[in-house]
Amino acid sequence: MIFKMCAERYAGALFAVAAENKELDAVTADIRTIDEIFEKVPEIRKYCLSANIATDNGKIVIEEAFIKYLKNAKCANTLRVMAENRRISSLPFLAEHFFAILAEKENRVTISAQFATEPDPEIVEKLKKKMSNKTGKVVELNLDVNPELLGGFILKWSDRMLDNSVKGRLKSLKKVIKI
Amino acid sequence: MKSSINPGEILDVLKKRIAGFEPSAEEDEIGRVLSAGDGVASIWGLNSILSGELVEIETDDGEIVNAMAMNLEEESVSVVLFSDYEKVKEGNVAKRTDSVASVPVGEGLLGRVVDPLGNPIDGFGEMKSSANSRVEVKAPGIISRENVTEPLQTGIKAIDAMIPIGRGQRELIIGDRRTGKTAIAIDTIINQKNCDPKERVHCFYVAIGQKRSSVVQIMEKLKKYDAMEYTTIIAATASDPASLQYLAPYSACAMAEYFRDSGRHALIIFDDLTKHSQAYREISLLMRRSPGREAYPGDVFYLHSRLLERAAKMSEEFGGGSLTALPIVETQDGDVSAYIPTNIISITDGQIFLEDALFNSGLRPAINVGISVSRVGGDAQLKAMKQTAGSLRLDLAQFRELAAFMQFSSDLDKSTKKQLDRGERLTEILKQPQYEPIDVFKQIIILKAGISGRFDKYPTVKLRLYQRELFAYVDKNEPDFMQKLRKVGELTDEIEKELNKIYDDFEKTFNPETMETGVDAGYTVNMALAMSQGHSGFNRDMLQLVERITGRELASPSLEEELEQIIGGEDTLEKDRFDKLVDSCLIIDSDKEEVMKVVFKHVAEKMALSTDSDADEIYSKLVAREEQTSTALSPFFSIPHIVSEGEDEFDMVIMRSKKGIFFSDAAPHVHALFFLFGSLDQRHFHLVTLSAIAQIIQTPTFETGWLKASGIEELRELILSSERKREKTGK
Repeated sequence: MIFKMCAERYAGALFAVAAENKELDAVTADIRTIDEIFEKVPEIRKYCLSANIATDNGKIVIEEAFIKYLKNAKCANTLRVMAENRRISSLPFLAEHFFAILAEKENRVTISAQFATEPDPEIVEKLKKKMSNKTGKVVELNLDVNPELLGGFILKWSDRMLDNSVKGRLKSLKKVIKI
Repeated sequence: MKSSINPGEILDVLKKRIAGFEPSAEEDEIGRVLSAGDGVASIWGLNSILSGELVEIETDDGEIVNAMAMNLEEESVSVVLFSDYEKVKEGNVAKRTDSVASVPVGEGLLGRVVDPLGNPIDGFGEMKSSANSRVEVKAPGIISRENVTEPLQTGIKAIDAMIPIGRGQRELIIGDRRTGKTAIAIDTIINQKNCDPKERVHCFYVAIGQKRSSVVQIMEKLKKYDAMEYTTIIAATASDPASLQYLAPYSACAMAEYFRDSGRHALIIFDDLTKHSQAYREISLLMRRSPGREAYPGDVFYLHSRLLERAAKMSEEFGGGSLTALPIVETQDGDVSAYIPTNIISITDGQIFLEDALFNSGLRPAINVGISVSRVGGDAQLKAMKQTAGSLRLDLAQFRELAAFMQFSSDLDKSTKKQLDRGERLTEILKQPQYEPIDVFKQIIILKAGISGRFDKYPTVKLRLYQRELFAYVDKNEPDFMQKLRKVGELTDEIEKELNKIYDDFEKTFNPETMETGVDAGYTVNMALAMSQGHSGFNRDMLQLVERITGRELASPSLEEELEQIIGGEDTLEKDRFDKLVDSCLIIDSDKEEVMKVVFKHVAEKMALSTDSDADEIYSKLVAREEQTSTALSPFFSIPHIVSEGEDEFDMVIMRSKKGIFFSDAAPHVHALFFLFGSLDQRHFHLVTLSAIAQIIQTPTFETGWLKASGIEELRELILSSERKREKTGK
């Protein structure tokens, strides 16, 4: 829990620095690289999350595993600061928060949509439009199919949820008739 | 659930509910569980949640776990979980419900056992509630309140006389474990039964952190005394999460406030607040709030002050209802200066202090009247009681001062001795068994007798008999006077004069010495009480009597209940069998003066003839039984009974000795002997016979009849006729 919170702060700082120096694109590219590294080498994620990494070891790992591949000095420095402050465990969450801040800045919102069956492209378009009206932002839909919903869909974005599935309705019906 | 529900009804209910159900896709604010464990969880998200708001957490297997927001922090929200917290995992979705904790309230809750969320847990199905009420509400303000002026009768002499409680008061019951704290509370609930239905006090008993078995026991007791119909039990037992234990008193208070705010009266008992503060400490520490003294959080005072402030007497404009609170606090080794006890003492309007030493010395309720006080109850006390008991406190205080000198009683001057005697008698009369609350006007009558010195002429051990007989006498002969006293409510000269006349008349008929002093003080007192039941009906003492003489082989933990069923029951089959047994049994009539052992030998031989057993064996068993405890229950009769090895055996030998048989120095002349001899499989009948005999010898004319009877057949007839007579009057 504390890792995520710290990651949010570092991401915020990095974003502010990048925006100030107009290096946002370069930094974003580097963050993507970090994300990729984590995806390709799951062991490194495990290593970062394991407790009690000696500062010196951490620094070496950061240099060898990440900074080698990074192009932007600000981004590399952020990682060094994190290693210095013994916050390597927050590193796996850095990208997530950075992208969230970026999306906020660019007025985008990512909505995860779960459908019971593969939805019509028409409906998806309609949904996008509706949600874009509702949130006032450019909507990116992450589609997903989950037959457990029986029918309908569930939308989740930031800290909101809109449950319009048959499963959800059955649940609220269950509450009303107190079974 | 009841199985007798008509399927049609269920359908109807469902139809109505489904008709009113509007499916809607509501937008919910969600968060995710960051960490969970030990009954608390922290949640990321839920940015606009309110403090105290309920949260629903969906577990991996689709179950909903309810929780309540306690800590709103910068980055997360800490919640306490109300149920299976082991199922909540990191990453589970938590949903706001937009409602703070509330419970159902209304008349439908009376007679029910519910959990702190208002769900019935007594298996009697759904409740009808009139409304939902918030668990945490602010206490009534100053304008809407009024002074405490109406009394709340507890039915306990010592309390109603010296520590009166008014409606709307908060009176703490404090004491060590097992000193009778809960007993006072339960008796108070039971006593509300006698209240005028219009003025009825609705009772709420909150069990916090108790054993489930004790809660069941309390429910059973309340049911037995018909007190459950106006009582609700709110139970957060030891196995419930600390969050529910923390919530219990507040939700119970919300339920009781429904009655207070609708102009009626309610009584709430928090049993106990020590466990409540411990539950709150547990939650607080898990929530990482800073610990203070004894690791309690800083707001532990506010925890109870905001709860007890909700007890109030409302002014007429606001309906005139009241909510009286009786919080219970358990101390360790009588230490009232511990953190929680001092806190609650300072919040409440007085305390009833129960003491271990008093309890063990047999003074029950074990109230230490010296340090127990009621700060506001005095104004609420009934005038007649005030006039009666005004000097009682003082008398007892003086008695306590002098009590140390009691052992030198022979050297004391007359006035000191008199004071000691008086104090001893007053102390005795303040004793009261559990589950026997006394009507306040009867309390006045008995206390008045004590204070005006009428007890001085009787020995202390006879006073309980005096009380019982006096009440029976008043019930029977002076109902008009009682009515009058009830109506007037104070002791005017006229009433006092009448009362004195009643005492005089009663004392003419009351003669405690008719009972011979006896074998064992316990037995004799019991017998005396049992036999005095001429007009007050049956009778716990009778039960105790039988229970005490029952041999060890026949005893069982539920003996008392079993006997109660036998004596109170209508088991005609077993009763017929007893009649037959009397018809066929051997009766020995003896003119000689004999000693016990010779008689035992003689009877053993006779018994051996009618059963397969050996005479010597029977004899040695009889002697061994006699050594256990004497079977001579009074100087007049004895019931030696033994258990045989065989099966399906039961025999009785009755013996009359005109000159008496020597049992011991205490019972030198026993005239009636009932020898019982049965195998263990006949245990029930054994008990039936014991009870039947015990009841027969209670007949007032039995003793004279027994000695006068001219022969064996007349003796048999005497037993049978008293048995029948008893049955007739018993119905």
